[in-house]
Amino acid sequence: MTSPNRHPARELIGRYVDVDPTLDGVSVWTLESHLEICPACREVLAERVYADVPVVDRDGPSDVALLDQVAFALSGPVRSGPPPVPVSRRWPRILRRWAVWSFVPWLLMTGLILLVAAVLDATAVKHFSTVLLVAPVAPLLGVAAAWNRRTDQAWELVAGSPRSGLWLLLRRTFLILSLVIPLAAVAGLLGGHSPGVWLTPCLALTATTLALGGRFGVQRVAVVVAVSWAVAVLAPGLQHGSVPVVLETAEVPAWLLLAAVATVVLLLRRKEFRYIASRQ
Amino acid sequence: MARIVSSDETTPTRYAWSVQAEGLMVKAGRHLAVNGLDLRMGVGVQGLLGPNGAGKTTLMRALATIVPPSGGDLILLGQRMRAGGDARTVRRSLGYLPQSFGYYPRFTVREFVEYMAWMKEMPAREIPGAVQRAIERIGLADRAEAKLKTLSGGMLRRVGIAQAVVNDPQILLLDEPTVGLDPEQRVGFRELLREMGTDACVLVSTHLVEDVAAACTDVVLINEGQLVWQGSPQDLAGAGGGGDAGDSPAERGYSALLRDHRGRAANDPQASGDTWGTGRRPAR
Repeated sequence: MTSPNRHPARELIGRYVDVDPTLDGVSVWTLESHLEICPACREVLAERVYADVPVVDRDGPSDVALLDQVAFALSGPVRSGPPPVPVSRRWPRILRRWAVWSFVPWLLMTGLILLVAAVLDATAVKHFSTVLLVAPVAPLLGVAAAWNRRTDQAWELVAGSPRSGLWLLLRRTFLILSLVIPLAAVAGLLGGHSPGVWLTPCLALTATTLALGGRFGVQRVAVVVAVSWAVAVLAPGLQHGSVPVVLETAEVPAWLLLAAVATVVLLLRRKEFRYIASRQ
Repeated sequence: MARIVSSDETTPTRYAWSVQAEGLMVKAGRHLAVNGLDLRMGVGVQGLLGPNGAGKTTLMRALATIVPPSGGDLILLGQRMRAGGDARTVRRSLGYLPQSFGYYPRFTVREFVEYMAWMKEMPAREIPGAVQRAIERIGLADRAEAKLKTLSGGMLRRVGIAQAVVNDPQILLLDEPTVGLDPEQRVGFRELLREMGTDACVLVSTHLVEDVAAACTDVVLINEGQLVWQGSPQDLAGAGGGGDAGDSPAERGYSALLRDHRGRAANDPQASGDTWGTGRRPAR
């Protein structure tokens, strides 16, 4: 009967309209599912339902009048009420989703450090650049702030949501790198240094921080890496006034190798980022 | 606007309990805050009661998949939770209001709830409607464009509730949701709880025994990381005698049950947390 070609008997529809208690559930169900797809039988149903109603009340005008009444009742409050407020889009949505506000002060700090380094380069007469020494670890401040429970106010909400994990951390890191690298590049170019020298160590150290961060905590690893860099490269560099060995062009393949290894380790250990709570 | 019901929502569930814990152990730092907890919860509003340091918040965090269990079994929506396991599908059906609700002060109410809806991987086209519904549900529609840093404590709490319910969760965990709400808002909140409790497992942790008596269909009482008692609010009210501390039947029942549990734990350390005799607690 549910096929649109086979129609129920008019008598059955009549019993349905009269709520006949002898009509069994299966018939009612079949009839209703047929009515859903068959306009002709709905017509029959409507005729039966309206059989007792006088023709005057049955016609359209009463519906139209009702709609007019509703429209009139609504139009007053709508016109006198407050106008719709345009949704403010102060920040592009992508920035809101990729950024975490906790790293803003850290990024400002990074910018300041790079500025100071650039000023040092411009004023002091030396054979090497301070920017060159600072730039490889410059993103680490922001990365440290992007993934730990002390600086991310909503960490508990973030940690319990499905999108939490390595990809969220990578989004945040990407945003940091896309802000810090151009800054460092400009600071370096002012002193006449091409980004090629420091860019590979910068990426390699960031990747290493993330790769070890799942196991030991991103913030902790970032601090260790930055301090090691300061002790092993920055301090001797400033003292001797020469470009450290690790920043020479010949070392670029080694840094690339480190970056590749760290990336592979990071992808293999991505499970460790599912819970932000531990060791952060 | 009507919401389209997806086929996932209409398929019958394949598990008996939304939350099922057996011998659950969860660490808070180095301390074992939940220690051998057995618990089964289905659809309805459950009130989680217990003294300070009973492990309520740690239990909530474990159920919210923020802290992995360090021992025992935890099965949420039919899926076993393990350290390092993938909790992603369960997390999509979770709503959680932490005790210390952290937020981004520069976001507006709408932006924050929208951000959380995105974090919960809701389909992009459903997000605007769901956000508006959630904000209207907690009565902040007129402040939807206000920045979070301009809101009062009670309003922030309500924003927290909005982000928890935005994805129509199947497990809704609210850790002390009524803190900072005025009496009128609390009544409205109980209404929301009853509404959510018709087709979701709602667990409300609170210190206010009155909230539990008014809005919950079931009460879970824990102490020192173990289940003390589970039963209906009427049974809780009936458990107390005239001599127990408290100003209402429910409060007297609460103190009677706790006192009794502590007495038994002191007599027999092995028996701590064992059956109260209601038969509701699963056998170990």
